[in-house]
Amino acid sequence: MNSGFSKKNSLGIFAVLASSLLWIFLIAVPLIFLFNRMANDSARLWDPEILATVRLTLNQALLSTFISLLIGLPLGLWAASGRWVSASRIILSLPYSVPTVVAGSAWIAWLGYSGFLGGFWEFWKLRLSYTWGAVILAHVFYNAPWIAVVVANSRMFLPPSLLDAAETLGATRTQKFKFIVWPRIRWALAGALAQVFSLCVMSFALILLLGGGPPVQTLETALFARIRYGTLDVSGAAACAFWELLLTLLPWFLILWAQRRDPGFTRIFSRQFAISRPQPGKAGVGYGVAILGVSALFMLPYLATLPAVTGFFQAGKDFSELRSPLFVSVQLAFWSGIGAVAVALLSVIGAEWLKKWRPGTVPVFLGLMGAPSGISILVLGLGVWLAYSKWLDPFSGSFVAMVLLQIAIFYPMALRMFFPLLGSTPQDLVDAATTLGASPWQAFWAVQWPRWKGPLLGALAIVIGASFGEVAAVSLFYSEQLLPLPVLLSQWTSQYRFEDAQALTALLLLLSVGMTGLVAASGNLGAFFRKWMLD
Amino acid sequence: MLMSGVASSADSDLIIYTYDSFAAKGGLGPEIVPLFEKKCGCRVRLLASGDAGQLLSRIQLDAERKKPTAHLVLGLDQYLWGRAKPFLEVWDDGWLPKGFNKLDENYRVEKGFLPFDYGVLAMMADMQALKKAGLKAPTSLRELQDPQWKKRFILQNPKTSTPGLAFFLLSRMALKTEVWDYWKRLSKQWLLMAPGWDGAYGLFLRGEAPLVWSYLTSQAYHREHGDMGSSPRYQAILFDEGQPLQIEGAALVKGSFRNSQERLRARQFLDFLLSDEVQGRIALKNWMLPVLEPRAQTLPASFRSLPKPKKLIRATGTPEELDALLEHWSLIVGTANP
Repeated sequence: MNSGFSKKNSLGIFAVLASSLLWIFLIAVPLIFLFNRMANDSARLWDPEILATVRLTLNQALLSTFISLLIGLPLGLWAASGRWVSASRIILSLPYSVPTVVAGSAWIAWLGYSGFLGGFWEFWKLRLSYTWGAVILAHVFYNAPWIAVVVANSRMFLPPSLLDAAETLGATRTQKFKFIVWPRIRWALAGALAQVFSLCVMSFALILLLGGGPPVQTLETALFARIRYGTLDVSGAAACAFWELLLTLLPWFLILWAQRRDPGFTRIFSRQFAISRPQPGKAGVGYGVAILGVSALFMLPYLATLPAVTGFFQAGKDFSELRSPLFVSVQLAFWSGIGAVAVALLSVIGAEWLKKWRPGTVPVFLGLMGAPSGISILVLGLGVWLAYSKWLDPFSGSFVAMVLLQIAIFYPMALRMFFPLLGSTPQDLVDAATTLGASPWQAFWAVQWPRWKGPLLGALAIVIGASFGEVAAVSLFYSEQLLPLPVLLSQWTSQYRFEDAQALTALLLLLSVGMTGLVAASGNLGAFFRKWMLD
Repeated sequence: MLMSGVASSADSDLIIYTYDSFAAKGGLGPEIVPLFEKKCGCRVRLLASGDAGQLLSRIQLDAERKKPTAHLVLGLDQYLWGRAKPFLEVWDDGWLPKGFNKLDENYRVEKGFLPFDYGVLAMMADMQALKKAGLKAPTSLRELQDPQWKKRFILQNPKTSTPGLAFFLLSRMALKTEVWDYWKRLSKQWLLMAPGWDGAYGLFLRGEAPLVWSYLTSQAYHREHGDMGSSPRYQAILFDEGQPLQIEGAALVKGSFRNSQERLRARQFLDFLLSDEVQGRIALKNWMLPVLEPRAQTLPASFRSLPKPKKLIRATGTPEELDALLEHWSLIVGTANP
């Protein structure tokens, strides 16, 4: 028993140390270097152009997040009540894996004069493309399904017995929501909103493609302009980075502050809500189909890019140069996915251990570990340049640097998906399985895996999908020998190969969405193996 | 100040930083590098570094790291030269590349900067789209302020793109004191201001707008790819105010040479850039114009038939002046005053 206890302790200590070290190496040190650089020219913080961009960024992010909430919250609750919850969660997760360059291209096809509806826009003299309206519309389509997924994830772990009991006691629909559902979903929803707000602040490709340039600018594009063009205005970029960090981290700190004052929050870590597996809704088939249909609507805009994939099948075209970038992108997506999920798992294990040892430190630990979701890759990449450039040449190409940066940016997403599972281990079921003679491995497969399967594979799927289209980290650390697909896309456009570039855009969409769907759906394979092992 | 010695040069005798499309398959680099390697009996490595702006960032960062990687940088233009100069050699020992004295004065920038090709910037028009809209192509910068051109042209951001900067400087030189009023009005006119040329041109080809700021040689590209006949679709438009020049050059990186042999090899490469072998390939491989007319061959017909600019404009100014101008431009176009 003692050895079991010390094994658990060792794992907990290792998890806390490993995740903390990674955080220090990848997040803290680069940011310290960045702000040290900024301290030499702190007046830039008050540059009127930068302050105006802060205002624009804030307005855009607030509006995008608010509209996404209005759509995402009811959609998530609705999705959780359907009979095919897992399927609707997979479909709702897909838009999140669409590369932003693909999304931008797709929205131009819908909103631009050259698109399907070009005649309509021209006839009515309407112009939505290259405006703030287009940016906000694209953000809402991107983020509302994500809010819905997070809400559905939390809602589906709610034991139906609680709602049945409330109903028996005469609770109205509003009362059930207020006293049972809302306490369960509110912190997950708050986390999702903070994440969406951060993503809207850090939005890059969509602003560039759909905003149409000045005066539509955000801190991220302003930062990009300061490090991309030959001026290498590091102080100006650092000032943009500072404001961006402040905007993106503020919601997380507010959540942390509110959680510490909310006694209901600690119940999430208790066993009150612990259940063994997600509870599908009881509604009928038609209802379930309707949910799936509405969920699929959010993918509709991106399908506009797919016809271009026929460009690869035109006679006489040689796409052998695609082989190596495709290989690099697949490897990158694989390692980033595994790495991000591993770091998120380490953080969860670490938090579980801290909960027993020092419960008060858990929110701080999770808050800090979740912080990178509020930091843009451009900001972090700039910090990594400054901190490690003596040892690491950012221009000579580094696969490890690309993977590490993508892990740093994507693991908080996985962490947030694991959050509803935190502290809800059904220990009584584990104990029962052990008493009945199950090995720890069998007990894990029977009790824990059904709970973890969805979020784990979902997180892996989303990170893999997102990695395919991620532009910032790869553009900071690629080389001609290490060329991922998004960089090849940019090279082809600068060589007048616009049709090939459009075909590549369609391929990126197929790869990211296909991989996301495949990995997320592979949960069914997991169920098969579990059954086989238990039998 | 810089440490001498090039990093990671074990497998190459000459390392060159250049922009992506130069080094990419089908670009000029892979065509000319084997020729030079044969000549010098050495190994050359091209390191692609994004666009011209990123090239400058790269040599700046190398200097900061005190670890020069490349001997040569290829692809800077005259607008970036002022900022890049502190990190580059200026040939102060009297050496000049072979053929340098034959260069037209228009293309010379300063000692240390070897021009190897140039581009003339111009508005490209989709004549089919203009005809459909019942419009005739504009003939001046001023005309772009007319209501008929509202949301019908695409520009590039002068803060992130060299063609965009060239448009801005052209307007400043042509319109003088009226320039800021012009930009105030123009900011309501353009459909979009893309961060770079490639994005802008891609949207133009997609049919988003009938006009885009680009290179005169874009017309040659379309002619070479089948857009011919009595009324070709894509046509370069010249402005009464003139056309800006973009001169691309190569330079030696300060502190990158461990010995005189390495410097000699890099200088030989600069000589090579002005040779017929390179100049004769620039048109169809880099879609720019050679700074020296090759003796052995004339330019392709698609290049010879390009419209002749009424006036070529070369903007001047220090990096500090440019910064101040662009800061003011930001205020005018609304970034700082939403």
